[in-house]
Amino acid sequence: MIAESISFVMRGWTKALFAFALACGLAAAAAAPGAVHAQPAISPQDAERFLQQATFGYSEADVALVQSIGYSAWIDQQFAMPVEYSHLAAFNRLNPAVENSNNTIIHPGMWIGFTKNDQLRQRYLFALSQIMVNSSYTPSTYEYGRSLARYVDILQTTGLTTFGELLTQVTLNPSMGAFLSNLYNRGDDPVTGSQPDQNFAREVMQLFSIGLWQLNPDGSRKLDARGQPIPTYTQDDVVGVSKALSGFAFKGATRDDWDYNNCFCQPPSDPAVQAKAMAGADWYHSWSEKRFLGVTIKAGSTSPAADLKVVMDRLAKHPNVGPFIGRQLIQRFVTSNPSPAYIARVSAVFANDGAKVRGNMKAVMRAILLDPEARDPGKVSDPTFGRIREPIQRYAQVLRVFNARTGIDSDDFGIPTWEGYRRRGLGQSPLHAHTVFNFYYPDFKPAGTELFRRNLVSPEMQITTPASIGDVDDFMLNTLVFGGLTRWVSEAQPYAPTLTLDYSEWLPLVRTPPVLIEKMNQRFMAGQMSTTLKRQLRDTMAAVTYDWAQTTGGLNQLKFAQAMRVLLASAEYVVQK
Amino acid sequence: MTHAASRREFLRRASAFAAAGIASPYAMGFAGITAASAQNAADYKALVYVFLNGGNDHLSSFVPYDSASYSRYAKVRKDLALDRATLLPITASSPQDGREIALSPQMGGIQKLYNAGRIAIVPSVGPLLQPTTRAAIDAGRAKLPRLLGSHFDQANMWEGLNEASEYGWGGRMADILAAMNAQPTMTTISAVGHSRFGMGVNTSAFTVADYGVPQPYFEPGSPFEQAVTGSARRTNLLEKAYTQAHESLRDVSGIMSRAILPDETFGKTPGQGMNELANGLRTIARLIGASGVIGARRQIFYVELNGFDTHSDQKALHPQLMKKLNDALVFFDSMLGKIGMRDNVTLFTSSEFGRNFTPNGDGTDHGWGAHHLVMGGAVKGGNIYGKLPLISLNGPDTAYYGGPLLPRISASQYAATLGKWMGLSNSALRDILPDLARFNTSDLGFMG
Repeated sequence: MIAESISFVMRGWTKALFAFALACGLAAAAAAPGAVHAQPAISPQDAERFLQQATFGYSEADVALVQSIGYSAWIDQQFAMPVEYSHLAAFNRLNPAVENSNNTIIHPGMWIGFTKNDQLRQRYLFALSQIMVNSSYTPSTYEYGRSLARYVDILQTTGLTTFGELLTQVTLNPSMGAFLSNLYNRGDDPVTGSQPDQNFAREVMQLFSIGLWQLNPDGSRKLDARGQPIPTYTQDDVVGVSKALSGFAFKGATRDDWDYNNCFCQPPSDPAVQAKAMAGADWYHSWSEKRFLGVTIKAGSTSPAADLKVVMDRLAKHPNVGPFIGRQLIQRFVTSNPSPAYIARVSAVFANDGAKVRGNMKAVMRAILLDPEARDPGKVSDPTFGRIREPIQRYAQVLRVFNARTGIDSDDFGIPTWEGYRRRGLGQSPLHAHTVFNFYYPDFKPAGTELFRRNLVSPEMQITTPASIGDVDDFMLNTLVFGGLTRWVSEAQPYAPTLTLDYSEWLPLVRTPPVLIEKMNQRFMAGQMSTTLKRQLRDTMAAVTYDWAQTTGGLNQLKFAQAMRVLLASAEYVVQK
Repeated sequence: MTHAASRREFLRRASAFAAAGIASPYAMGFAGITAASAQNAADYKALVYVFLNGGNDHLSSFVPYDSASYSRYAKVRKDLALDRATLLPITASSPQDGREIALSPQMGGIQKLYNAGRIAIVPSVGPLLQPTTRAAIDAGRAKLPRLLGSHFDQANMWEGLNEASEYGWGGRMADILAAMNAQPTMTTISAVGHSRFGMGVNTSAFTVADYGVPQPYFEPGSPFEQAVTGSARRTNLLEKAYTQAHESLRDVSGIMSRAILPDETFGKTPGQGMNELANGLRTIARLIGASGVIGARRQIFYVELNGFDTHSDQKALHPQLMKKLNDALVFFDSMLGKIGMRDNVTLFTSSEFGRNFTPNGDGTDHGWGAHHLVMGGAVKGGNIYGKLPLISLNGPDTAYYGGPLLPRISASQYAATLGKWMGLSNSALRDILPDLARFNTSDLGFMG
């Protein structure tokens, strides 16, 4: 099936791309039967560059593995790995109390997950969490922590099945229902004139599946006869979908529960039910006729579940999904401004994985990471290529590269969740976007830049402001200088460790700066560091002559931390290329 | 105080210490503009854009109050309807056919400012491409703004008011007004991050924080500074954009942070840190107080209050929002009073949309038009500038059945009235707000 999916992608390629694919290690899949090819060598830099796109951070052994088995087999291995960290299990471990389902407990687990070895899955779930956004930021999900933990597990399990199944499970998750007011959402009432809430119906189309404008497979907008873009849906479609998706609540909810719980006050006390998908309830489903996106469900339809299926099928089969979701995934892994041809190749795999399966998300991820545009090392010097690593990715790379260990709590590194409107520190916390529109928009163009003038986007620039960049640096520096984080527990334990970074491979190299800097180059920048930045790191270390911070590793630790801090803030590093 | 926080404080102090021995180029920049500080406050004008993020339910802020309107409102809104006895009535001299509105119970300070003539209300305002009637919508003849009901797109529409461009009307005004300022880069300032509103062709908003102006955190000439700046020598466009943010911090904050009024200038901020609008307005007031020092004659500010997307639990949530809005506006008025800047500053609200008349359970859904308010000493307050709508599910003042309020006043007219006060010519306003020409007036009359 793997060979089939690759050969399907290959059909549309030019000869040049085909030749390039061979060079990329796709040879085994692309070769004619019987042909024997030596596996083309993957350079350490190419392996590192691939791992920058596919993981939060990698070891030398990971680089060697990619070199020896190739990109494609590495992806297979990653997808074959069992889920290393279940967020629901962690939630229950941390929070066995039935009644307490506080959502804030979810963030520590997100960071722990990012350090596990199923790295591609971790990057993928983080990417999905920025497209099908659910959030612990809003009070509306506050009591739904267990459902939210289950939501993350859906992203990392169902997320790697088909898009249709993923969208269905996302729709039925109670915390999503609470977040976008589709939990206990009542159908239209002809007597009172009350309408179902349209929040989820709108966002499931606008953000989670088809977007606002009809798209060609290459992501460009379709135009009507007058040259105008064509909306994917109208307000009437929103109303139709909202009616079809009405009448869902916690599994087993009674009519009394509905009447009582319409305020969304409390989830049911049974923790097993909090973690289950919502189920349809006949008494508050909408039974009038529903029309949306060219589909009509006649009045008196069979069941809420049947209506749900009609909506999910209609959305999952919409031609927009491949380019709309595919482009955003490319943006999260590879580059902010993929070429139309790149999007089209990913859309084609979305439409058919080679075995006539639509929306096979593993195949989509494979297509994104193996695409010539992702793999071509020449793209490093393309002025429009790359993406800004969001602060979470930068911090997670520090955790991975320095083998972060937990301290007093094995499920919590003690990384703060920055609350309040104007956040400090990293300025973003996983699963904690302000609204369903994520931390930034996929089409954000920073004003006053050449990107803007050339109509190119950089979503992550939306949270890169004069006020935020110093805050990110401040938090990074604090972690790096002290090699981790501590927490006040009691007078007796004022500096209890919660996060410890392992610098043992690194500090002995401080006395040979070129060796140290080359190692930093390999592990953080895939060998792309300029001689200028190398000199800046060397000068930074030379300028540190006194351990004013009194670190455990002495002056060498402070020198190393200052060099790391400069690297992590540097423009060369921040733009993943 | 946690250990982590004290360590962070230690780090901050340590790096400040390290920088102390190096001559700062910012000091020179500061000296270079002090000549302009002799400017007189009478020639200073600022606009403050307050974005009520999420879509304010105007029917819970400006509640139908005459008995006919109130009874229609109460009948449809049911549990969500506010108790008439608790409302704060206001009067208006403009003809309203017997229709009245009252403010929500949390808006006592706003009521006082309205009565004192420093707040005006503009009803039924929203994005429009042309004057639009219900009949034209029903007949399919109306040209409507794109993507009504979408949070992002309608916020974007309000901030741009030009479907053919990607710039914001604040930024476009700043492009013209920046020439009046000694420091053109300090013309547009955002207290909350990026917005379309502040995006101009030649200007963009500098972002400040609720604690004041962010400080340059690298020493001039240090390897660190070199690693995060140098946009001119970089070829990758994303690297260029990233380094520009650092350069803006380096070039602007030094001057701004030396000029900003000390935090102690003003008393306690309401909300104990949780009222983000009040926090942002405090920083804005401190910067307005510094306008003479930085030689600014025209400035445009942007700030937000979040949480208005009240799909559920509206009865509990909306009053909290109105309290925040009320307290923040009263605080801003008092700060401006203290620095003698009331007549120089005009604040106005916007929101991506109002909310539907029909409730859904315990919340409301995305609508279209809404009522808004304008505040300042130059505002001809204590009046309503426009006609209050007929309260109905399906009447001439609703866009379709269920009650999204059909705007009668274009947001472009609202913006033009403010822009004219800032001193922009009619031709500049027509250029920035291309739909303006389709409406009968570009001055709604609420500015003196």
